[in-house]
Amino acid sequence: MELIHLAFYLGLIIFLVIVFAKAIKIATAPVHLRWELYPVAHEKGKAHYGGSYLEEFEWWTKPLQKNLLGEVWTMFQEIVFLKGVWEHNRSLWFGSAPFHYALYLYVVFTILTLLSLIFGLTPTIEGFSNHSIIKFLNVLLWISSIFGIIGAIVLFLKRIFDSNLKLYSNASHYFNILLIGALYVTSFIWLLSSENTIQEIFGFYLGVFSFSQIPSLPIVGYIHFYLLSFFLFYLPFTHMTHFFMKYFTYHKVRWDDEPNLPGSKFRKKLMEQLNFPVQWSAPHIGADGTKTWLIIASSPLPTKEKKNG
Amino acid sequence: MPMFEWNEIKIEVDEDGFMANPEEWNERVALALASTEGITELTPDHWKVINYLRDYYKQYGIAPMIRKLCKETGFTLKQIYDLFPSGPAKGACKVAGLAKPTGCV
Amino acid sequence: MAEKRKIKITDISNPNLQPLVEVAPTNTIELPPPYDKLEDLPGFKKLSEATRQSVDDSLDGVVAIGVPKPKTPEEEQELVEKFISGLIKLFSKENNWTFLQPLVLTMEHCAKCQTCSEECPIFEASGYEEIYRPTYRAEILRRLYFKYVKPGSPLLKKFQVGDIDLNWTLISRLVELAYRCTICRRCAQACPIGIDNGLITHELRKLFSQEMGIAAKEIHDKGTVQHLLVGSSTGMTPEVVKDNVSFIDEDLSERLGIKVESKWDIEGADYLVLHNAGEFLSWPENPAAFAILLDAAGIKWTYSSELLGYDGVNYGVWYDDFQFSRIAMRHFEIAKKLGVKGIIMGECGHESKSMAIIAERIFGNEIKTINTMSLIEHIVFSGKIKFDPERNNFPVTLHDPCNIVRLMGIVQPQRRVLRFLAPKFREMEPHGVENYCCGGGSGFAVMTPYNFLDWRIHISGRKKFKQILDAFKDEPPGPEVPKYVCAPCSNCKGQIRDILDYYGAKEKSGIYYGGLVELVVNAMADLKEPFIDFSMM
Repeated sequence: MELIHLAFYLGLIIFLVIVFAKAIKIATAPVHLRWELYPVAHEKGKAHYGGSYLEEFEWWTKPLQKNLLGEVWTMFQEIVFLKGVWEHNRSLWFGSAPFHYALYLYVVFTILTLLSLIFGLTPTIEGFSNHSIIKFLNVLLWISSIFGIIGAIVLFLKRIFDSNLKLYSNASHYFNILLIGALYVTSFIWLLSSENTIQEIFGFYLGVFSFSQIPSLPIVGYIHFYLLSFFLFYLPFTHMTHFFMKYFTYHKVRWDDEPNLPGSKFRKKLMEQLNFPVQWSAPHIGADGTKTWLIIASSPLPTKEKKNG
Repeated sequence: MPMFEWNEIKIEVDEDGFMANPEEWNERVALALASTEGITELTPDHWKVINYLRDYYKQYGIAPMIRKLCKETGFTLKQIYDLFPSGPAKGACKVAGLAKPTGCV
Repeated sequence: MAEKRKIKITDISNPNLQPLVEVAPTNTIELPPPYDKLEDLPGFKKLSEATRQSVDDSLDGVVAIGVPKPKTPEEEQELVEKFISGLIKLFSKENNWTFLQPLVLTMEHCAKCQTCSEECPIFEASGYEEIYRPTYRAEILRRLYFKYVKPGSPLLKKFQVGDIDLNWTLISRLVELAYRCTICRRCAQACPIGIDNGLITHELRKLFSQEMGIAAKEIHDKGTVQHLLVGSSTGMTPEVVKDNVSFIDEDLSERLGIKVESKWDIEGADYLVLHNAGEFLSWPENPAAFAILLDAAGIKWTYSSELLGYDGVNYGVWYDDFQFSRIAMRHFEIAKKLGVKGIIMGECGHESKSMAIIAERIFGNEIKTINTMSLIEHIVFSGKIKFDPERNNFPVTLHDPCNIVRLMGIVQPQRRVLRFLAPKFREMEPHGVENYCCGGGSGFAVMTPYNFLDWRIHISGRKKFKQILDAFKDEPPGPEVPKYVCAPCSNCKGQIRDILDYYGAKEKSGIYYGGLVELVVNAMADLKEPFIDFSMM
C-alpha cells in the first residue's frame, strides 16, 4: 500500500458517505408547502406552455396524468445542453458548457475504465494499447482534458473580469475552478508526456480496487490522482453538490404539484409536522414553545394584538 | 408620527398624510389638509363631498364605495377628480379627515 | 448619469453609507412617447426631516416599512439578538417545516452564476442597482446562515461564502430590502440549478414578522389583523358589505335594465363565491358581472356574511405562515359550514393560489376551490349563454397575474375566452408563464407609505407599463380609441390603476383596465345595455 492508495480510499469514502448522508437528509426533510413553478415538466399535454391540471374545470373529477417522459426530457436538455444557461446567460455558457462537458466525459471515461477492468481488459494483456476501447478512451480523455482546460480558463477569467460575477465570487470559487482546472491540466500533460497514459490509469485503478500495488506512474500521474482524491474528498462539502441536489430542487420543489388527496403519501408525515411545537416570539403568533403549529394556526389572534386604526 | 403644520393648525398625520386622529377634524383642519392636495379654496361642491364622506364614515367607520359617493353626491368620477386631483380615496377622504382606506382598494 | 458607486455585499452593514444607494427614476426601460421624458415627471417624493429622524431610510432613500431607529446601543443589541434567534428558527424544522427544504436547497447550492439577474424587472428598471439584484438579498442571508446557523469551522465557512458583519444597520436595511421584491419568481424560473431567490424574500419577511413583529402595516395591522378581527382587510363589517352589495345590485339593475341579485348565506347553494373585498369597494362591476354570469349559467351560488367569509384575500401568504393559516382555515370552515361543495374564487391571484395549492397542502381539499379562469371558460363554452363578440370590438390585451399563471399554471382558459370574445385581443410580450409582474405583487399594490408609491411606479411597475404601451402600439395613440387591459386579479388592477393614473395614460392614450368577467358579460347578447361603460371607468 502506498500513500496514494490511502488518499484515494479516503477521498472516495468521504465522497460516498457524505453524498449519501446529504441526500438522505434532504430527502427526509419535512414535507414543505406547495411552491411549484411553471412550466412543470410532467404536466401531460400542457408542459410546453406551462399549463397545469388546475386549468381543468373541476380537475378532481378527471384522472391526474403525469408524463414522466416530460421530466426526463427536460432534465436531459438541462444536463446535456445546459439549456437554462444557454437561454438566460449566453456568454457564461461558453465557459460553463465545456467545463461541464469535461466533467461528464471524465466521469464516462472513468466508468468505462472500471467496466473494462471488470470485464477483464487488464493493462497487462497483450495488445492492450491496440484495443479499440482503449483507443476510444484515449480520445475521450483528450477531449475531456481540453474542454476542461478551456472551461476553467473561461470561467476563471469571467469570475475575475465580469463585474456581475466578481462581486459574488469568494475565495472558494476561484479555488474550485483552479482545482478542477488542475485536474485537466495534469491529465493533459500526462497524455502529452506519456505514450501509455491509459494503460497507466488502468494500472492505477486495478491497483486501488484490488488492494494491490500500482505499477509506477509518472509524477504527473501521481499529482493527477492526488488531486482527484482531494477533489472527491472536498466536493461533498461545496455548493457543487448541486450535481445531485438538482434532483430535489426540480422534482421536490419546482415540480411538486402533488394534491393533498386522502391517502396521499405525505399526509401522515404532514400530520406529525402539524404537531411540532412552535417557538416564534412575535406576540401575534402566541407561541409558548409547547403549543403546536396546528393549535396556533387554528387559534384566533392573541388578544394583545389590537386592531391598529 | 410626523406632524403637519399649516397656519395655526398642528395635527398628527400618518406616512401618507392622512390624519392620525380623525376625531380632531374640523373645518379649519379640512382647509389645512386641502392645501396638501393643491386645493386653495373649499367650494360648496367640495363640502358636499366632504360632508357625505364624514356622515358615512361616522356611521360605518370606513369610507364609502366610490360609486356610492358619486351617486349620493350627484358628481361623476371625473368631477370628483376635478375637485380633488388625487381622487376620491387619496384626496377627498384625506381632506375629510378619514383614515386611509385599507385592503385591496 | 454619474458613475454608480460599486456596492459590496458587506456594505449592507456599513452605517457610514447614508443611504447605501441613491435610487431615482431611470430610463433603462425606455417608454414610447409621450411617456419617454423622465424630466417631465416628478421624481421620488422627498422625505421630510422629521420622517428621516424617526425611521430608517438608509437602504435606498425609500421607505416601505419604516423601521424605527433604536434609541440606545442596548436597544440595538436587543434587535440583533432577536434577529439571530429568528434566524435559527427559520432553519429549524419545528418552526419552519413549511419551507425548510426549499430554503436549505437555495442556501446551499447557488453557484452565483447570475443567470437569474437579467430576469428581474426591478433590477433592470432601477438601472441595475446592485442591491436589487435577485442574488444580493439571498447572498446576505446565505452569509448569515453560514455564520450563525450552519455548523462547521468559521474559517472554512468564510472561505466558502465570505463573511458579513451583523448589526442593526444590516437588519434595518434587510427589512426594507425584503420589500423591494414582488416574489414574482421569474428569477427562479431562469435558474438552471433550481435556486429560488424569490423564496428568500418570502422567508426573510417571515423571520421579521414571526420573530420580531416587523411587517408592512398595510399587510399586517391593516391587513391580516384587521381581516381576522373585523372580518375584512378593507374594514368592512358584514353590515357594511351587505349594504354595499345591495347598492351595487340596485345600481347595476337600474343601469342595465336587468335584475342583478346577490345572494347571502343560502343553504343548499352549490358554491360559495369569495371575492377580494376590495372589488366591492373599488371595482363593483366585477362582482356584479360575476353575479350576472353565474345566474345566467344556472349556477347555485351564495355569498357568506360571516366574518372573513366575504373577504377572499390572504395577505399572510406574503409574509407570515401563521396569519396565512389562520385566514385560510377560516375560509375553509365557512365553506364547510355552509355545506357548499366548493368555493368559487373571484379574480384575485394571491388568494386563488393560497387556497388552491398552499393551504390545500395543509388542510387537505375536502372543500374544493374553483379558479375563475377555468370556471369562466367552462361557462362561456357551455352553450348556455349567447354571446356577441362584436360588443367587445375594442383593443384588448391580457396581463398574466403571476400567482395564477406562473405559479398555478393556469394559462390557456383565459386566452381561449378572449380569443373568442374579444376580436381585437393581442398578447403582451412576453406573456403566459414568462410574464412580467404588474409591479404590485406580494402586497405592494396596497402599500403607499412615505415615498414607496413612487418606487413601485418607477421601479417595480415600469416594465409592465412598457408592455402595456407596446401591446397597443399599432392602435391610434390618442384617447379616441379605448384600450382595455384585462387584468384578472384585484392586486394587479390596483397597481395598474396607479401606474395609469400616474402617467395620465387614460387621458393621453385611452388606456382602461378591468377584469376578465366584465368582458365576458359585456359580450352577452341578451343584455340590452353594454355592460362596460368607459365613461364610468
